[in-house]
Amino acid sequence: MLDKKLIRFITSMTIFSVLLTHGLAESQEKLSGQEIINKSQQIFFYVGKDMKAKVLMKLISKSGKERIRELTMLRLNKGESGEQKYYMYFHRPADVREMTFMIWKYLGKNDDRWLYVPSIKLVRRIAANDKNSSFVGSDFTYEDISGREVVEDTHTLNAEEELNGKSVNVVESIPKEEKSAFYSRKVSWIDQETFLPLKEEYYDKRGDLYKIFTAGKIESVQGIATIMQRTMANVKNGHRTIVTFEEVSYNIGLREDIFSERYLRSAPRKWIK
Amino acid sequence: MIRFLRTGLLVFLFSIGISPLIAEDFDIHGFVQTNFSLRIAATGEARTFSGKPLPDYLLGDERVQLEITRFGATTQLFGKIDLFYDAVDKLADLDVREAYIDLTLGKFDIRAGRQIITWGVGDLVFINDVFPKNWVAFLSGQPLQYLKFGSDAININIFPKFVSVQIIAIPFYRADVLPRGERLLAFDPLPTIANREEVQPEMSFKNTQIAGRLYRYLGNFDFSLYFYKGFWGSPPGMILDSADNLLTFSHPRLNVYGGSLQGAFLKGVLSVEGGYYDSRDDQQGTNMGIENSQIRFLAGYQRALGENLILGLQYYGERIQDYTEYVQNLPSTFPQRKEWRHTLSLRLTQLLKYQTLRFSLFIFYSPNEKDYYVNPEVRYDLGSGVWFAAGGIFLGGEKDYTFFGQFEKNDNVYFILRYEF
Repeated sequence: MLDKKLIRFITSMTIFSVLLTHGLAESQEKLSGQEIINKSQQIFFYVGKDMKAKVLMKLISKSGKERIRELTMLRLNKGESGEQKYYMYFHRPADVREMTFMIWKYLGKNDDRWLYVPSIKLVRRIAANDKNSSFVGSDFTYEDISGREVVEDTHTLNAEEELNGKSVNVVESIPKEEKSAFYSRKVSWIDQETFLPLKEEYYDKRGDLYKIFTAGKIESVQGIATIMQRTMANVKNGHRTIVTFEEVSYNIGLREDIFSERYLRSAPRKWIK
Repeated sequence: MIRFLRTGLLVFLFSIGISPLIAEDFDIHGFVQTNFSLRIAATGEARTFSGKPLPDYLLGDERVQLEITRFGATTQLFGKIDLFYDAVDKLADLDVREAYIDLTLGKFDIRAGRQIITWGVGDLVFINDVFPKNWVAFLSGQPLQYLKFGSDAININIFPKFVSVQIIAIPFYRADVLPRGERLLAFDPLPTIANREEVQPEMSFKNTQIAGRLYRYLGNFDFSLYFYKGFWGSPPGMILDSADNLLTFSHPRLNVYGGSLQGAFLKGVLSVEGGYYDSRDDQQGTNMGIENSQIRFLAGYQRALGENLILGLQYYGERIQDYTEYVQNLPSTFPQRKEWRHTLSLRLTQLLKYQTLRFSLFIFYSPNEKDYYVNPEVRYDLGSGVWFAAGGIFLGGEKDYTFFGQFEKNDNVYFILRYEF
């Protein structure tokens, strides 16, 4: 209980400080690793009050064989609590078409997850304690989709350098509890201007490089810097997943009731096309 | 009725099909599938009810499914039809799986027509879900979606702030498809009665089935209350006419009252559901041809054991309410059931190779009736819409009349190959 309160407090303070520092961005004060990751997470997972994106995932095997996942994702922030709601509707491939998937994300405890299976009109909850399992067969995990809690890792600013012509902070993140993550160490190259992660390297429990995240195309959408294409590559087996945002919009006025059983069973056409 | 529905569907498909083939709000999908199932149990001298040798194949099914949707601003038309050839019965036919119209308004939704309705939180255990089921499809290795089939119903959903309300009226009765000793061998308490027929509740206002559900989030749980007024689907009632050597399967009146909860618990998902089956035509529990009133209950727990590995455990209990009356009125030739039937189940699902390969195992085991249902399956996604699944269904038990024990001569291995578009 205390933990939860503490986490909530830290999160709201974090959001507060992010908002504050956002206003003072020009002052170029030197940030700690923790502050950089905080800010980066806010930009990456929480930007806007809500968001809608049409997402195309290409799952590519070592031999070049491609599989497709196409979905519409709706996201709503629950104020500044750090809690969020996600709704995903699958357009392709045929065997998951019309399947819908909902997450209510919390801080300090497991998320709630629901799945709707259209062929038998079944809504059911599914276990959410497998944050490191693959998201729909891709190289991204559930945690990569909705974000890992900042307080679960210790973040250290290791260097400031140039990456693809941009000034970046290089931050190393180490899980406080070894079992809580699939990686033993993560290194992030975070753009000093936008605070978006341009590259991340994940090292496995043996310390070997395991997965690499790279941000491709970055565009300004409604004035918000948005990664329109990203890749997660598994360097051990040669499999990779390229995610392209085909359409993105922020602050579209999503209502909270969209994230309910009613709309799991019957997708809101207004938002899902 | 079936003829009427088919004609209706053709008109329906025609009306949504003419102009909008070019419209963007029109969707057509479906699949082509082959599905066969081979009996592997030793059948010995066993014969089907009509005296023929048991068929080696439980299933030899080729089918095309077409699914057509037309979207409008507040309405949606949906049709799903199967054209199939059944090689065991050498029969080609058309099955209207679903055909309905959806009306979506601010605070309520209406769905009218043939529709599949699924309720409850059980894993292959249905307490408050009293909607039609095809147990022959389930036991002979058809894909899970064929366990359920559509109700011809009006389904109204209202969404006030405090609680969501669902009310379903089903004027046309569709009986469960049950093993009757032909393709699937099942226990028959009256094997010498040669003539069989099934009577369905006649279509009348009074016989309209009514089902209702109230649901909302309660803390971190999904909470539902259920009500049903209708008829026993399975097991059906039996009326014996010894003079004419005739056994009639009937559908006595049934009310069901129940509730369920599902939510996060100890890193997993906890599911609890219960229901009271009120056998309206046998309130005293003295009629041997009508199922006694019952209490049914389940508790399930699901959690991930590791990356891409999920475990589900479940207990299901069923109690005969007026057990003394049941025993006293049971004919001597009928096997006596236990007052309680306890069933445990386990489901393990492992996804591998970026979820293209799935191993699953489902087991039902009753510790007091000592019978089982075991279903291992492997499914592989070949890409480009093609997947296949192969599995086995193994059934049996100590006694040949218990819930699963009676099916011991139906052990089978099955294969499904599907191309979806």
